[in-house]
Formats: sequence, C-alpha cells, structure tokens
Amino acid sequence: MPVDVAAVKEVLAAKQGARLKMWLEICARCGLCAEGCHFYQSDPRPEYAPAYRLKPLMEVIRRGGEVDEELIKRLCEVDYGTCTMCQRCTMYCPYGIGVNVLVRAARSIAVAAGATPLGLARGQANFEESGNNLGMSGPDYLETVEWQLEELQAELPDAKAPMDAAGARTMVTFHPRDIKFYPQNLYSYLKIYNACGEDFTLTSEGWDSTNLGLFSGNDAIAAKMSGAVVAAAERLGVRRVLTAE
Amino acid sequence: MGKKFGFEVLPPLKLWADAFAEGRLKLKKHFYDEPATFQDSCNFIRNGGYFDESRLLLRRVASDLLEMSPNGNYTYCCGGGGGHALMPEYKKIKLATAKAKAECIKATGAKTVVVACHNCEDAIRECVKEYGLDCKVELFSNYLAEAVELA
Amino acid sequence: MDALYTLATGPLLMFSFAVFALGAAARVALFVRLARRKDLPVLQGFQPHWAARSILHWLIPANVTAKASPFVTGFGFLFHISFLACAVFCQAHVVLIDAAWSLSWWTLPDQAADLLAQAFLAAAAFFAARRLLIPVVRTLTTPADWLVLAIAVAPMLTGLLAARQIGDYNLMITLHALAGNLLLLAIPFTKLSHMILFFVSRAVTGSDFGKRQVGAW
Repeated sequence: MPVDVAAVKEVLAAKQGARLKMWLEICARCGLCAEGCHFYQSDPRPEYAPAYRLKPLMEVIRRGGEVDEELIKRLCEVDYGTCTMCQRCTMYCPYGIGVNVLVRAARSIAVAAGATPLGLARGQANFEESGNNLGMSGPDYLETVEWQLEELQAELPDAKAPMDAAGARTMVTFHPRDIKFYPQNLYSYLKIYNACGEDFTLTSEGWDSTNLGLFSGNDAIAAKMSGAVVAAAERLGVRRVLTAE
Repeated sequence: MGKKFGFEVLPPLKLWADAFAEGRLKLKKHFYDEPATFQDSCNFIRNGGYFDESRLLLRRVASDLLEMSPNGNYTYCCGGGGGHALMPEYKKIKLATAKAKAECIKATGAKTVVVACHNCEDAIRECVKEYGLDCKVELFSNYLAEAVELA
Repeated sequence: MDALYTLATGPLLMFSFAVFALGAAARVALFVRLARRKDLPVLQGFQPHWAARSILHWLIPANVTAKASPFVTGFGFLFHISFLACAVFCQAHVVLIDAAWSLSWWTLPDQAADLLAQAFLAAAAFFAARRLLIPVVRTLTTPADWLVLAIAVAPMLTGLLAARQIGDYNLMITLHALAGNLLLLAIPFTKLSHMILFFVSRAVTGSDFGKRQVGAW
C-alpha cells in the first residue's frame, strides 16, 4: 500500500491547531490517565495508557509528515485499535488533556494515508451511495416504516408515522440498523412518540444521523453526513431534530 | 459542528424525559421488578449531560435500579465507541478489555442491562456473552416502550 | 567565579525574568491566535464560569485523581507548593529583589525553607522513581521529561547545599544562580510551560464540558 505523503502533510498542517500543539507539548507523561481507561484497567499494558496514543502522532509530526507504511500501521493499531474516544481519561488528567481530540487527529492522518479501517470505509461508501451507512434503499426504508406502523396500529389504532411532514415540531432520525436489522426498535420509537402526542415527522432523506466520519477521522465525510441531516431538517422546517439512540 | 442552526439537536432520551416530566408520556410505575442496571453512554451521559433525565425514566419503570460503580460520567466505556462496532480487526482487544465493564455489571447483580446507544448495545451484548454474565441486554427505547401506559 | 555570580544575579537575571514574563504572555497570546485560525471550537461559546471552576477544581486536591492516585497527588502538591514557596519567600531571594527594586515581603524562616527544600527533593525522588519503576510511566517517559525534572531540581539542590554550606559555597551559590536563570529561561520553551498552559488547558476543557452541562472536570 503506497502512502500518500502529500495528503498526510496537508492534513497534518490543518490538524495542528492550538489545542493539539499545547497538549502534545505539556503532557507530563505521568500516567494518571491510565486510571481512566478501560483498556488499561482491564489489562494493564503500558501501551494501553491513553498518553501512549500521542506517541505515533508525535512521531508523524517529528518526521514532518514523511511517514512510511510501518508508522501508519503502528498509528492505526494504537489510535484505532486501543481507543474508543470515550473521554474518560480526560477526567483523570490534571491538565484535562482531550485525548479524543488527539486520537481523532491521528486517525485523520491514517485516513489521508489511505488506511481507513475497512468496516468504517465500507459504511462510508454505503453512505455515499444510499445516504445511510448500511446501504438501505429508499423503498426498503419506506416499506419498513409502513410495516411497523401497521403492527403498531394493532395496539394503537390511531398511530401515525408522518413522512416529510413540513412544519412538524420534531424530526426523528435513526441508526440504519433500527430499520434494517431491528425493526422492533422502530416500533418502539413510533409507539413512544404516538403515545406522548409528539408533533413529529420522519424524513425520507437524511434519516441516518450516525456519523462514521467522526470515528474514522474523515472530516469531509463527517461534514457530508451531518449535512444530510441538516438539509432535511431545514427542508422540513422543524424546530428539533432527534438523533439516533 | 460548531455552527448555529435554526433547530435544536437532542437525543431521544431527552425528549422522553421531558415528555414524562410534562405528563405527556405515561409510564407504568415499577413495571419491571427484575433488578436492572444502566450503561451510561459516553454520547448521552459523559458528553451529553443527560444523567438526571436517564434516571428519571429508569426509576419510574424499574423498581430495582442498581447503579454500577463507577457510574454516570465516571462509568467505564462499553467498549463499542469510536467506531469499534465496525472494526472487527480489533475485536480480540475489545473483548479482552471489556473485563472492567463485565466486573462492574456483575457486581451490581442486575439481570437486565439497559443501554441507550446502539454501540453500547452490541458491545455490552458481547461483553455479557464473553464473560458469561447472567443478564439480558435491552435497548432503552424498547425497555420504555413496553412500559408505556396507553390511554 | 564572583564575576559569574554577579552576572547571574544581575544583568542575566534581568534578562531571564524578561524572557520568562514575555514568554509566558506570548504563549497565551499565541494560543489564542492559533485557536482563531485553526481551532475555533475553543473560542466559540467560551464559558469563563466553567473554565474558572475547572481550574479551581484541580487546584484543590479533592478531585477524582486525588482519590484514585493519592500518593502522586500528595507528592505532586508538595513538589509544586514547596518549589513556589522557596522561590518566592526564601529570605535570600527577597533580599536580592529588595536591593534591585526596593521591594520586599514576608520571608520564610531558614529552617522552614530548609525543610521545604528537603520535601521538594523527596517529591522529585518519588517522581524519578515512578519514571524508573512503574512500567506504564517508564514506557511513556521521554528524554524531555527527565530534562525538565533536572531543570527543576537543579536550583533547589544547589540552593540547599549552598544554604547548608556543604561543598564550596562560592561554587554552589554561583551554580544555584545559574540554575535559577536556566529555569526561568526554560519555562516558556519546554514542558515547564505548563506553569502557564495548565490554566489554559483546564480553561479549554472546563469550558468544553461546561458547554455540555457535564461537570467541572
């Protein structure tokens, strides 16, 4: 796999913001963050300490972006493999270093180098094609909504599932798995919103509010993903958007 | 992200809690007797700040709500965040490092783990299976929907 | 040796103080400038109230880390408090400042300064031992961490030896003055910048979590 050094350098320059520079500099390597990490607490290996996740990133910076495959591989193993970006470590750090911000920057470098983990890459490709990360087609989505609404009407005869109802108060979005694999979840959401008399609408476009771009470190796709939901909300003129659970 | 929109973005949890507090959403009191615990998701609790909202709903429907230690903002991650749900290449590490969470769940003695996030749902299911815990995992929406009092 | 001492407590010291003060101010100014260009979320909706709470929360050893790691916290506070106390309130320092600027304030009794210096060195030894003995800290430690520890220990160690007249006093006091200059010069350019950036970092994180109504951590 050839590494796109020029792309890495570009991302590296963009990512070296005020916080990143400060945090990489002042981290005292005291190891108190290890107390905050479930990786380390479950298996106390030194390389599971949150501060360890700074190492590959600092190495990329030290080399001025001249990375090779080996370094990118190490960066992926550390910054994708041993961090869930849960921010618990930040609560244990006396400086309050946002390790998740640094891990996201490291992941952006992996993305630029062409090393996005396959599962995330596939979800992103699905999104580009279908507008949701599981690649569900529009008709499948609408059909599933109809189906679950009918099921719900057996319990709640007046139940509704308005689609693209402009001017509703609340737009409801989903994780595509709610539709594709666990339609029971969709049933539950519709039941709750009908039961409490919420003035809600579903949307035929921009209904997947998950954002894999934030996980992978691909800012362009992250912006596109949130952009789709924003566009739907603006089109329908809703006052509130409910994210996926 | 960072931009101001003409609308407000909120997680379902917040809307449910508001609707319940306003009396619009009627939930059967102590519908569940089985001891239950809640996985405080990083999205909605540590980053969202909806701890009180989650407890308002849970205490209503569960008669025996048990807290993990640590809980709330300080709870351990489920292990499924940051894209780990979609990175099978790191599954071995994920399962090995779910130990801290498994111990927390086990110590509560709960028979149901309620989860309010899809990433938590999968990760906690895997954790429960891997460590042979005797409990089921339920998504918050389903857990609440069962307990809705229909007029 | 006398000439060196005169330099290190005279013109060089003025220079070091100026670098320290200007450097410290510049670090904050540069942070804000860079944030404006590349890190806007830091400045948007900044919450001074939460920033202040976060700083306060970590200046008082009653936080989650104090409970999780009581020894590191205890020695950490001892290390910083004893250092600042000796630097600001040591009688010899105040005498120098009085001579230069006719400014003076309360001073530490010599025995107290001696005790604080020992406490500081004990804490430094504790941190060095952690870096050598605890696997996770050993793995994380970089040469820069040893360098700043050495820069911090040098003035304290030479100061204590000079005060107790151990070894050649003239040599020791000159080394002490030079080490003090080195420390002032190093603060803006090394990890010692945390003297200023601790407050910036905590403010940034405190504000961020305050925005989301999470807590004062």
